[in-house]
Amino acid sequence: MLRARHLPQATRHALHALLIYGSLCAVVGEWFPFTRVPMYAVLRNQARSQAAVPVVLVDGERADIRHYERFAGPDPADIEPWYRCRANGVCRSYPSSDGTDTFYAAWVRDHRARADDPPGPVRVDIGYLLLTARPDGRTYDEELEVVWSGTAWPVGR
Amino acid sequence: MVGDGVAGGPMTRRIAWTLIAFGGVLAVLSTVEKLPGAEVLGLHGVGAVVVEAARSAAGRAAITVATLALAARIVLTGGRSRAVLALFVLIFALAHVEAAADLPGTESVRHGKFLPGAILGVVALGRLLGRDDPDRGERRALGYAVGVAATLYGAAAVVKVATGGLDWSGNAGIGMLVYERSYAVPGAWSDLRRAFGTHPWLPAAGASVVMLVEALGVLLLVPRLRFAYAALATAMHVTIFVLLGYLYAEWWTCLWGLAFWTRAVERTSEG
Repeated sequence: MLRARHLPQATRHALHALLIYGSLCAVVGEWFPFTRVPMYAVLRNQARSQAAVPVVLVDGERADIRHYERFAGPDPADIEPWYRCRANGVCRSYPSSDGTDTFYAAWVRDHRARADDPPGPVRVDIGYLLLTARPDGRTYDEELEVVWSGTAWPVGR
Repeated sequence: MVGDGVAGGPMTRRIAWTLIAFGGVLAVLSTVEKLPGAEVLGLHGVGAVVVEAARSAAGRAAITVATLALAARIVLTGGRSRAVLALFVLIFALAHVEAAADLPGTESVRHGKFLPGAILGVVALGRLLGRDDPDRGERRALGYAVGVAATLYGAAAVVKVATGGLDWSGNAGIGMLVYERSYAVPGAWSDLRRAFGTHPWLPAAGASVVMLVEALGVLLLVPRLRFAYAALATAMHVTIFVLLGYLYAEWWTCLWGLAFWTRAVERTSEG
């Protein structure tokens, strides 16, 4: 019968680490340096019928928000993801699978125009490209929903 | 760290530690721009000074320079100082905290930083437990690092099966995810991603292959198969990069580092 002591020493150490570290990960969960590595595991039982891609448009074209500063416009909290309600009381959430909307909100908040800044030369629209699955489950309808509009200056101008 | 008694050690060791240190440096450099929330500072008192330093450009530059200096020391001296390792692990842990705080719900971003940090930690543990015999300590450290890597890859497959069953790969969410990423990461691969995401069976087939490669992470336990698994996993990660835009460079550079390190240890044993 093969026993652990019959294994090469290097393999024995690796096996011990796998068993101990794996057990700790299963018990502790998501706390560095432990993890159950749940990447996309819930795609199966938490299927989405709609995806929301955060986008930044400058004068109608997709752009990198980091190239702009001195944003003038409404409260950037309107850009925040998760559950939000409009002024008319209509509430909805945005099923975005990445965190760039949080980054956009933080960027606008950290690069606001001062009170004495003139309006920027470019129009900035921040929102979500909504991808809704059609009945065949493989093709999608696309719709842009803007959640924040304002002006900004290119960095350095 | 690589060791007492192996100062100026063989080139394979230097290659190995270059790759592992590079993976860790990548993780830190890609994370220092993400600032933590107030609640994270409250929960993680240790390292608060470093975190505050990261708020300023000068502080971030200092952390970056220090991290690069640590990596350079590891490469040039064979990483003989445990203090270097401890500091590196600390920085890495803090980088993870920053990433977790700033991007809630983005599991894949957080986990991109895991492997080199966890490896560096168990390497330190292995060296500590084998401090009376440097060669045995090194083999122990390598074994622990490999065990952690095998656990992380294998767990990714296990959790998918536990969550969605053996046919986890056959869900429409995968195609939607790839299609979504075609817009989230605009560039050369956008058309390919849209074509892949709307294909009738490619998303399921691709996901099945990924699950298989993850499950084969247990092959890392066999020293002679580590180069082969590093190549297999790298191919998987490159494919994920093409389809989803996540490179996970930290993970596959560490796998190659472990493979080279295994070769170095075997040659030492043969000598």
